[in-house]
Amino acid sequence: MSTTDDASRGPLRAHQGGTTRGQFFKRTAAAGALLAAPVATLATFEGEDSGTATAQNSDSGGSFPGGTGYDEAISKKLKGKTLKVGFTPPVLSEFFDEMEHACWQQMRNYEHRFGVKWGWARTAPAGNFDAVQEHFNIVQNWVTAGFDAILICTGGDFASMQKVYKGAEDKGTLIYQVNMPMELWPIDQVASSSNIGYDNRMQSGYVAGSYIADKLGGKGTILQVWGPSGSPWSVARQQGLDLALKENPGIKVVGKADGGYVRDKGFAAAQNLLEAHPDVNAIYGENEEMALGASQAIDAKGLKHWDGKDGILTIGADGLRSGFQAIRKGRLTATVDVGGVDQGIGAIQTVLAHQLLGMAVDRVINVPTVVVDKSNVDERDAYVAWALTAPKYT
Amino acid sequence: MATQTPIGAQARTLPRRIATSTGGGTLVFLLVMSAIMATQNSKFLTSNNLFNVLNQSVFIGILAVAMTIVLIHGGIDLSVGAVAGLTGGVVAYLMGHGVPMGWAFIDALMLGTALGIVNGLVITRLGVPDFIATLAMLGVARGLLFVWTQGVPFIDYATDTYRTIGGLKDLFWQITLPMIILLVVAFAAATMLTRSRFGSHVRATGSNREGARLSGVAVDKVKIAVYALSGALAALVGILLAGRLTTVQPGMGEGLELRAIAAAILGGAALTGGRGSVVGAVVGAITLAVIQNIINLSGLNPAWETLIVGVIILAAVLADRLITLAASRSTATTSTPAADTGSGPAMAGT
Repeated sequence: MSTTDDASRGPLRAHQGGTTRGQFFKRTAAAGALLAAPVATLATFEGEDSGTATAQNSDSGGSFPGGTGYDEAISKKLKGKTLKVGFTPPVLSEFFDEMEHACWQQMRNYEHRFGVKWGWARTAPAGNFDAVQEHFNIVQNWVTAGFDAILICTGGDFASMQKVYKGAEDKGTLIYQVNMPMELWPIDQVASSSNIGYDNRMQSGYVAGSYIADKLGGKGTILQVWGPSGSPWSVARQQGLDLALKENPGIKVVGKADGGYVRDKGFAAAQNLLEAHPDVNAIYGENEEMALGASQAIDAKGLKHWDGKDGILTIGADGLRSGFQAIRKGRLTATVDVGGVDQGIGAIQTVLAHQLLGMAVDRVINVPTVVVDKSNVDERDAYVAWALTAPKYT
Repeated sequence: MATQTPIGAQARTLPRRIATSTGGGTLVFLLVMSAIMATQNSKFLTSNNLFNVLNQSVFIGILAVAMTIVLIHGGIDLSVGAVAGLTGGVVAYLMGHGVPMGWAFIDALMLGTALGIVNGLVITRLGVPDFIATLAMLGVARGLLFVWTQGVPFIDYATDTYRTIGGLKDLFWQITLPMIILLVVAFAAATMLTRSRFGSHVRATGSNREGARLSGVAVDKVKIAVYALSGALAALVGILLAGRLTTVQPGMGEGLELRAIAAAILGGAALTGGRGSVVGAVVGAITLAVIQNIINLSGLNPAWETLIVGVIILAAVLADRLITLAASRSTATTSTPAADTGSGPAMAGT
C-alpha cells in the first residue's frame, strides 16, 4: 500500500504550486459532486420507468420466405455455423442506428429459422468522418480478428478505400458497402463483394425535385441547403435534382448554400438565403437535419409553412423518426426515406446468401426509397419503429 | 497604463483610437466589408438581416469572450465545443424526463463548471500542457455524448419558454434573449478583466507567469478559476444552443472551439497570452457571421466558402496587426517606446 501511496505522491509533489494535497482533494471532491449533480437530479425527478421498449420478434417477413420445407433444408446446412460481422458507419447517428437495428432484426430472424449464429461488432471513426486512415485501421483490425464480413459506409476517398477493401477480401474478410453512392464510380474499380444502397441520383435527388415540381404545379422557385462540397452524396443528389429541373423548366433554383449536414449551419444558411429570397416556394435540404434547420428559419422569419396550397414547402432526405415526427406536426413537408431499414435487412440477407448459401450476388443492390409526407408517414414510421424494437445483438 | 503624453494628442481622435486599439483593425475591416456589401446587395443592410447576423453570432460570441479570457491568461481551451454539446445533451435529456427547466439548467452549468475545473486540475496538478489537457477533455466530453446517445439525438424536450431562451422568438423589436445574455456576459467579462483584482491576476499570469507567481499571485488557482469560467460559459452556450436547435445531435457544437478561437484572434487576442479584448472578441464573432451571411446572400458557389473564410481571417488579422504596427511606429518617433505590440499586459481588457 505504501508504495502506491508514494507513487501517487511523486508527481503531485513535483507540481506543488501553492496548494496542499488536502486542498487538492477537497477541490477534486467538489468537482466530483458537481459532476454527479445531473444524475442525482434525474433520480429525484424521474417518477416511473419511462422505458417502454418491448422485444417482439417476428418470424414472418424477412427474405427467403420459403415455407417450412425450405427452412428445414437450410437449417440442416447452416445449423451451428457462425458468421462474424463488423458494422462501421462513418459516424454514430440516428440513421445508422436504425440501420443497425434492422441488421439485428434480420440476424435474429435467420437465427430463429435456420439456427445460424452471428457475431456482431460496431465501431465508428472517432475523429473526422472522411478520414481514410481511421476506417483503414478499423477494417484491418477486424481482418486480423478473423471477421467473416464487414459492412461499411465511409466518407473516405473512393480510390484509397478500394485498396483497403482489396487487402481485406484477399485475406478472406468480405466487404459489403452500405449506403454508398455507387452510381458515381465505375463498377469495375469497386473492390467490395457487394454494395447495398440506393441510387442517390434517381432515388433521392430526382424524386425530391419531382415532388417539389409536382406540388408546385410545375412553377416556382427553390432554395438549396446542401452538404459540404466534396461530399459524394451531395454530388449524386445534385445530378438527380438537375435531371428533375430539366424536366420541369418552370422550377428555378434561386439560391444554394452550404449547410454542412448539421442543423445549426443549415438554419443560419437558410435564414440568410431567405433574407435574399423571401418569396421562395420551396427549400430542399439535402438531409433532414438541414431541412429541419430551414424549417426553423421559416418560423424565425414568420413565414408560412406549406399547407398543400401555399406557404414554403420543405423537403429533406433520410427517413428518421425525428423527421417523421416533424412531418406529422407540419414543420417539414416531406422527406425522402432512403431505406435505412431495408439496407440493414438487405445487407444481412446478402451476407448470408453469398457466404453461407454460395449464391452469386449483384455488385450493386438498390433498395426502394420513397417520398414520405403526411399521406404515408404513419406506415413508414411504423416500419422504422418495428426495426428499432430489435434488442441489441450480442 | 497608456502613455498619456500629449504630444500626439491632436492625432488621437476617436476613430484613430478605435482603429489602433486591440482588435480595432478587425472592426475597421468589418465596417469596410459591410459598406462594400451594402452597395452590392440591397438586402444586406435591412434590419431583418442585421438582426439575423447578430442572432447567428451570439453563440460564437459568448465562447469567444470566454476564449479571450483563457487566451489572455496564457492558456487555450479546445474543449468548449464538446462541453457545450454534452451540457446541451444533459439539459435535453433531463427535460425530456420531466425535470423542470431551471433544475436542468443548473445541472448543465454545474457540469460545465466541473469539467472546466477538471481541466484546470489536470493542467496545474499533473503538469499537462493546456493544449493537451483540453484536447483530451474535448475527446472525453464528445465521446461521453456519443456513448450516451448511441448516435440517436434527443428530441421532443423543447417548450415554448425554452425556444424563447434559445432565441427562436423575439423578446421585443427583434431583440432575442441570447443577444442580451451576450451583452451581459461581455460587459461582466470586460469589467472583471479591467476592474477586478482577479482580472489583473489573469492578465499578470498571462504576460509573465513566473513574475506573477513571485509577486504573490496564486497562478494555479487563477488557472483553475479561468478554466472553470470557460467551462461554465461553454455550458451556457450548450443550454442556449439546445433551445435554439430543439434537438441535441451527438455532434452538436462540433468545431465551435476553432471558430471561437478564430473570433478571439480576430478580436486581437494573442496565442502567447497577455493580450486580448472582450469587445474585440464580440466583433470577431460578428465578423465570422457576416462573412457567411455575405457568401449566402451574394449567391457565391458554396464550394468557395471554406477558402474565403480562411483568407478573410488572415486578411483581418493582418489588417489589425498592420494598423497597430503603423500606430506604434508613428508614436515611437515622437514618444518613448511604450507602444504595445503584444508583449505587455497593458492592452488587455476593453
